[in-house]
Amino acid sequence: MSTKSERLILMGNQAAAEGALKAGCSFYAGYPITPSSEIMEMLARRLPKQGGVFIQMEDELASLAAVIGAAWTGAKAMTATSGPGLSLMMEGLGYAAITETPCVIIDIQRAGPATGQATRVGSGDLLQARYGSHGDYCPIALSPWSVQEMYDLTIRAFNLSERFRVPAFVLAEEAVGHLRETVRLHDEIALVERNREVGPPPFGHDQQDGVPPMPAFGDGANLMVTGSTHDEWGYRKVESPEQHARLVERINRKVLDHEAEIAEVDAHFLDDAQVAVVTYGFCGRSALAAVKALRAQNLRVGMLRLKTIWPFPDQAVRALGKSVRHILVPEMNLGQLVGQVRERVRCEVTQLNQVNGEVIVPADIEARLREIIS
Amino acid sequence: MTEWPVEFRFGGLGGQGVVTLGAVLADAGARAGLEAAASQSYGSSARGGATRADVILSDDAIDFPHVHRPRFLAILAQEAFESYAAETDPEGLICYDGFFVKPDDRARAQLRSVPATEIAVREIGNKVAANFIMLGAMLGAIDLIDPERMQEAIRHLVRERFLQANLKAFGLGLDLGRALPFAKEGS
Repeated sequence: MSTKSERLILMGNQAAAEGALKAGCSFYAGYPITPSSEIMEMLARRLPKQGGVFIQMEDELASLAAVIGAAWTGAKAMTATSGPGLSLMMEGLGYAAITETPCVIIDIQRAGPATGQATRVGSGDLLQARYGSHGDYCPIALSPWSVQEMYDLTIRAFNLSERFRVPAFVLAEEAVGHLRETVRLHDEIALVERNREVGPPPFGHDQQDGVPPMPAFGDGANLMVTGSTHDEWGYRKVESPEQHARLVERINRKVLDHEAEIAEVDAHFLDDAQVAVVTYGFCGRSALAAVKALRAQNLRVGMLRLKTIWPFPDQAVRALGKSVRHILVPEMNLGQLVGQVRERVRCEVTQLNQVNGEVIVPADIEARLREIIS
Repeated sequence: MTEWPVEFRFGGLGGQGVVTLGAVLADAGARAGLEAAASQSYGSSARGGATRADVILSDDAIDFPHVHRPRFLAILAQEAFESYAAETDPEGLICYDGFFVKPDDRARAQLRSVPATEIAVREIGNKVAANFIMLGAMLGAIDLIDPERMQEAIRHLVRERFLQANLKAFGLGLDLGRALPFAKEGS
């Protein structure tokens, strides 16, 4: 994917901003919030210098609304926030889903609920990203475990959101957003540009892969964009059972049917593992250290890291459930993803949860794995 | 031969520039060809709360990026000494600013008193420069990273307005540290 790259130290949030610029983001609207503000600060400096638009809005509702509007002018648009801001964006999230608007939301998770602890870590926004807005929709959500992935997965979030016309999240935790690490900024990255073809219905194809072309305002199409149920041309159809079912089913199917293309996992030491950790985000770093420590003592443990949270990596987790006898799911919440694992496997599943605003350390995962093995 | 990874911790109060030291050391490590990870713990208020910055440098990929047992600890406030001295590797080194810190027997590592604040006030005219004197002193004592890489990192990360003062502070610290070299016991 890359031939040349520059090696440097960046904070995760800075790497995400670099990734956004590399992906072709030309519009940012947001409202500052710890621990995500460095993304906004960097884009405030950089975007205007390269012809992009940066705007600080009055709140997070307006931020996502502005992002959606910008996307319909053809821009690759994004915002960044943390839990309290994400709560305010739920109205816009549903609107982006039903209008099939590509946009990127970077959520640097902190300890919640509500204002909680602004500078402390948590992974409490997973289910909100998936289910927080009403009705049925399926956003894409990626989970970086390193500064490198803050860069890589931000680019991927833009690509996937363009490809599928959906809101795409980078669901990172404070511990990754504020981590400084060596990172390589790749020179040559494959970028996806949305199909702006004028002519076919912009809300409609049931054929192909369920993703209709999206001309921008000004491209020449007669565009109507509405959050109400609409037909393939955008006409409101607020009383037709058929139109509503067709629309809602398609905007979910176009994501769920492409799980194989979207969902990425990262397997470590799974070939002969009897016990596995299923993990995501920063916890993956703790899990890897724990697994390596136990492997050094010839214990057959491994881990499966979910780089994609939504759509949930169904196939990979089902397969894991058939090859190990026990799965441990450590989470910096009270168990938001463990249920997704449980409903896909028949082996035993144990959860390890912590909500004290601190990261789960390798020793905690190692100790729990030892209990499971013995 | 250095045994990597090496864990560093800087402890102080908000406003003493502790987080900057972590960022500079990590940046210098990367410039020296090492893998680096830096993290911090701080409160919401910009000034006054207990703050720490942690750095891991390694010649290999860093699995878990948080410091567990620092080998080298630099301390600018008594609270930080009380929090972190006991966690420090007994075979390591603790540098502390004697103006703010009175060490006690909870520290099992070697101890160096560095008059960072005193020198900052006398030579730089600003006590805030004590952080870079402390960084220089630690790096001078342990001789692990080429000072030129450190200076490059400082130029890269410190704002123009404070650059010369901080480079000078780092240099003063480096001289202090070199005069008090750290040697692992038994080596």
